[in-house]
Amino acid sequence: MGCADDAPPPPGAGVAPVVSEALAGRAPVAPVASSAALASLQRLKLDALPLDLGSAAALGAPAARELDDSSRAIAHETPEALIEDTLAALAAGDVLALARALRGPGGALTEDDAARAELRFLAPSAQQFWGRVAEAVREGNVDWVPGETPDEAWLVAHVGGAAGSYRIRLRREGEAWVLAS
Amino acid sequence: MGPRKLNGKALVVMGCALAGALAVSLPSRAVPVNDPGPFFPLVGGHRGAAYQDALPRGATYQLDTGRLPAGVRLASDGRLSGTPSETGLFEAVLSVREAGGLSYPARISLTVHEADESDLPAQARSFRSSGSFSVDQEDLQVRIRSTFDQAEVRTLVRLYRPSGKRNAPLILFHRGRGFDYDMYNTLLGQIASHGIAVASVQDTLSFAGGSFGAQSFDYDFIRPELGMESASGVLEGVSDLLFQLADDPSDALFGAFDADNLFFCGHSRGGGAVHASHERSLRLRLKGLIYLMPFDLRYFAECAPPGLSPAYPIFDQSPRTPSLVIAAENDGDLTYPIADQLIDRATGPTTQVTVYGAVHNLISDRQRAEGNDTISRSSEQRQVADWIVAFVKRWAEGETDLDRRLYAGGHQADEDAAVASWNPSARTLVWEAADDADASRNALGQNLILDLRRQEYAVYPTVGNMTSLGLKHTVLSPQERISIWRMAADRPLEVADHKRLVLRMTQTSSVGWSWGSVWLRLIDAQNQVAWVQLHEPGGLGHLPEFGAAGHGSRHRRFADVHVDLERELLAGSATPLNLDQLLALDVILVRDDAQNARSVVVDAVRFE
Repeated sequence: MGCADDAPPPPGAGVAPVVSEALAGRAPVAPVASSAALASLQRLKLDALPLDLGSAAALGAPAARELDDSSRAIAHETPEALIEDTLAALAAGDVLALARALRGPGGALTEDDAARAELRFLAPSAQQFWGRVAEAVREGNVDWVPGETPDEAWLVAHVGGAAGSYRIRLRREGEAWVLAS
Repeated sequence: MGPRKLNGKALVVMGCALAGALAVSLPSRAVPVNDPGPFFPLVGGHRGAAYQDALPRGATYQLDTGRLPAGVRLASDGRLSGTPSETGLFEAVLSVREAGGLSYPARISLTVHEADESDLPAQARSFRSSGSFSVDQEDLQVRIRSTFDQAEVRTLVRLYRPSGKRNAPLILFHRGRGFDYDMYNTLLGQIASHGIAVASVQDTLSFAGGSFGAQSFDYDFIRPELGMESASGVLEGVSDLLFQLADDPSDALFGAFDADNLFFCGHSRGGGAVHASHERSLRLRLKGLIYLMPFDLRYFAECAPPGLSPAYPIFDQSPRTPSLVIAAENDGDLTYPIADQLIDRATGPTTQVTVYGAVHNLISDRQRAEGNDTISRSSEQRQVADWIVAFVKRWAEGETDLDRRLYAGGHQADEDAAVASWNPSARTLVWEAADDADASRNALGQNLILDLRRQEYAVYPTVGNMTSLGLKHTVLSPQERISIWRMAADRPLEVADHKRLVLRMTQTSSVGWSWGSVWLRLIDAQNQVAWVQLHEPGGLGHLPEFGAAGHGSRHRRFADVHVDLERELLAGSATPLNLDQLLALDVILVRDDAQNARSVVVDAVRFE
């Protein structure tokens, strides 16, 4: 929805913004950037935005857009298989497959799943993190540690350096293992 | 000079570079000599504004020395109230008597600023250049008993002392894993040149160094959280010993350190030791804590309360002790970056600094860069030293003008670092921190949205056990070119007496903030409007500009935006906005680059 163009003029809208010399009884000197800011405000037509959002705004978020799955399969049968497929998806930069690794096999993927997968795997620091995990897995420098319940497991990747090891928690939902969030 | 052993119960045995004899016996108690008592930084005040705060319950308090600002009273149960009528830093020592009869002193500190903060300078002082002191460097070899596991620890300690300075603030510094205690000469010497003593501790027990393995494989490898808690115990033992030396008229270190101004600092796993020390900071009598690219101990499930013995629990929130947290943007070791989550749990004065282009190893003198460094070793060291000196001078020497850079927006949109802070005053009014269970409500009213998706979850990578903290942020995902998140209030808010509107912000695209513009719209009960331009492509002063100075990833790190309510509101209606009748705050996103735009993340929206 384009919220500016078709909205009825709200109270106060249409009044040309002016640099206030006395907001709330004060008499500040507006910063030099003010005039440029006001020009931007008008250029973007923000001054025409409705004040009363009640009629136009949803109280809850609109449903997340659904996305098609990647053609890359993610195995959820065991923690080891999940990590192996996750690292392969990571190497390919396949955000949809990574989203599936987080979400598990059920239900349609959404844009929210993809956004979280981007944050968890593809942010700059996350890529460094997972790169070192992948190296540890490749070299066999990992331990699998049981969690407090049979539905939890930890991958401890011995990456060396100051950290020594990275810890990744997995949990089982039904019959499927997923990366815990 | 060769090492020199002392007889009897003496535990300091060698003075490698000291001219005088050292004769020190085992500390017989686990508190510093001349116990200054725990330190409680009180919430800040403003002249003419109602004030209240409270010390821990269950004890009686009496003012001993020092004073409170005129207009503020201390009740015997620890409650403080009134209206301060003068500005300045007010420090006092209280006599505390707990219900069980235990008595001890306690220090309090209350800073009162002018209501309009006109007593804070516009420009923030820098300490990137060397200070005026020459630095004496000397090594000690000491034996102490760790308070963590009662192990007797023999360790080297390198002292950096500002030449000729008596009663200097003292920083106990713990190295990181894979580093030696003598690898930080440039950083620690730079700090000492500003009149601050530093003791760098080797501690071969708790985790490996660059030139040695750890004595405890368990602490180093199997349960690293124990190594960090052990390192905290070692720092405590060394600090006790140094203050005992400083209290001995026959010792060369007599009068060297000020027990009232003790700080613990650590790098990497040493930063984890700082976290462990933060949990115990009242008992340790610490004035402040300095985390450098640290471990966050809540990464370890074993540290979640009640803790898996012998680890002690690290609670969701630590004592108010002032803290400085420094992260490296491109850290290639503690990459999570888990240190970021400390600011979300801050209770006392806290400054979180992410140095752009910095990596984990370059604050040392010798370790090669492990990550994607885009600044030099020298630059990284000077920037880190600068922040540490500013922090210590603020809390040890009462230089409250430094509040501008530490807590009041002096570094917003900085080219070198992302800075977020938390230092509440009695008038702080939090509008939304996403910390309740109802995403449709903020702290004061309803959340409304137009053409965006608004969710509440933590944007931090979910590694280790960090999700046990349950942190949340407001995540705004625009669906159209222009979208709005409105924080509405159930009743008009009176904020005319506040100076700043503050938002902690980041965004999740790979192009920084260059995908569009960010505006605020304030609306009062009479529908009068004022605007604030936070950002437009090209940079406008509130949010970090992407890609400047060769850095390419200024995103996904929180930085505070401070809006001066006196100077930065642009009127949007004929009648001026009434800040004593404020009814709504809109965050308006203008998405010019739909291909690259992702989500905007907001936290800790508040009036200061």
